[in-house]
Amino acid sequence: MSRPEPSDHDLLRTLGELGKGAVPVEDPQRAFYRRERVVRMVGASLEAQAEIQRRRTRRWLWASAAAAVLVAGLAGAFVLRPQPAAVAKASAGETRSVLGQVSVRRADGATPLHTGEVLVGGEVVSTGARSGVEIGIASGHADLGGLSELEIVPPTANERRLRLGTGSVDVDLPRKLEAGKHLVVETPDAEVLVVGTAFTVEVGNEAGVRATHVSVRRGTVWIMQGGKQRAVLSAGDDWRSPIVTAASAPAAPLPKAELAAAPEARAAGVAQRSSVAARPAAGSRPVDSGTLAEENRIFRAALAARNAGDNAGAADTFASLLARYPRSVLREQALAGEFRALDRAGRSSAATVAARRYLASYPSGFARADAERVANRL
Amino acid sequence: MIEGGADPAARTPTDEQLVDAVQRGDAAMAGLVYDRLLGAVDHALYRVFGRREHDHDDLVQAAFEQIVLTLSRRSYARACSLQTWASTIATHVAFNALRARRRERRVFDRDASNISEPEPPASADLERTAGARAELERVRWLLANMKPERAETVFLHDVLGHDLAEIAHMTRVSVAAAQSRLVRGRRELRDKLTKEQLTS
Repeated sequence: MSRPEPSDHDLLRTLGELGKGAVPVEDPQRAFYRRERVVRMVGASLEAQAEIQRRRTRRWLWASAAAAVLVAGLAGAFVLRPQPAAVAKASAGETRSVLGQVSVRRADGATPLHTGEVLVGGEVVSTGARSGVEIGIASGHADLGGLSELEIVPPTANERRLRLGTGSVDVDLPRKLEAGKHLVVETPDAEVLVVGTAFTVEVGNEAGVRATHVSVRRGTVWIMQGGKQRAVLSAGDDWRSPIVTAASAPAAPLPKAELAAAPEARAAGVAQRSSVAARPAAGSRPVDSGTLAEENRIFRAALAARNAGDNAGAADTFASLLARYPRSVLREQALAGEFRALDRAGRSSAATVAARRYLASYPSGFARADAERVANRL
Repeated sequence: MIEGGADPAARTPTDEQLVDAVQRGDAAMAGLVYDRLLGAVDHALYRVFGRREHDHDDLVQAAFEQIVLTLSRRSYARACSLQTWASTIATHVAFNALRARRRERRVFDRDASNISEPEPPASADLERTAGARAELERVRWLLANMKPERAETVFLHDVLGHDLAEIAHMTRVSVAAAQSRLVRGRRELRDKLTKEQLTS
């Protein structure tokens, strides 16, 4: 049986009924637990928001700094044309071109490196496979090759210093530096002094031992070891570092967490170097056994930092491993370790990004459930 | 920074201060945001569903996610109270959930006992209160079947009692557009009710 068509009045009365009646009081325990949960979520969202704002501010500051340097450079070039060196003093270097994956690590973490970015010293520039970056330095430029890591040391009045941890760098200084000034490319076991030349420095990792190879295309360079001159190279000359003991080899630039790694991890590294160093050096170089030992060493350092409760350090070390060895066999473990460490360190937004990176690479990986939880939390 | 004071009322942040804190990303204000807006959110969800559903807590969280997001993105124009804004967002979240259930039922017919379309009263001898309750359930169900913007406008105006100017601000349309949605929404609802009654 059908009923009469509802009038407007009936409709409004029915709708009004929907808004009437008291809302019952909730179970206090359920309300309490929900409050905990939602407040935590809101807090995380607000933190992420703050992080975004901080990044925007940093970006703005960098842009302002770059603009200021540009303006200063133009003004300097115009006003101080007879003294072009004054412009070069403004920074330790600037990024002229970037190819592929290139990141720069500063005190506040690693970020992608962009063309035009100014390097003031203290940064560590890392390149991925088939990547590279051209950095303008002094009167020339340094081209960092793939899978390399280069620390830009803050410049002094007389010295520009680049610390090559791994990989290769090609330096070209078309003009001779002013008297008393020099550029130094430092490797784990040697220093290359330059006054005006073109040359390539490579740091290889052979059976766990860092070794340096220098080839000169133009001009003259000095090779220094332990503060003593070992060789003077001219155009066309090649030089390879002799096998050195771990004690005499200066450390490569490493994240703080690695320096604070567990003693056993460092001891393992030293033992490895020493054992190779004990081999006879008579014109023979150890056969390149790949980078696995170094990857393991960094991975152990990250685990040691994590086990010591230094989650931020662990995250940085995992990131360092991934930056240096993007195709590492430990990549999945390092990606998982990175987002978990960031999560434990309370860096929610960075953890979310890292978890998404893990899921993109390993959608069915062993840490999928954890990664999904972190990636979808916000 | 929210200034303190001897008077407890003076220590309670205003809506403006709360919104500023959210836009700054001040995580310490999370609890205050929740306590300030829970009433409005809970009320709106309860009115849409007619009860607290099994996933009520999830809906509360979803509403707060949207609230924080819109405040952070400065979508809230501060033209209405924060509670009214929260109530609008909660209504939107609730209707989305109601529509999702309707779609799920079409495909899976799952959990039918909780979300099934209310049966029309079979005979006139049903108790009056049960009949009235069934009528309200049917209206809710039909609202979920309507165009979202029309259903939400009808609900905000005729159920939650917001005026047209306020609804226009909250839904970011002109007052004329809000009025049009209200009129068309009521007509659509009445037509659906009539159609239902003719087939029952």
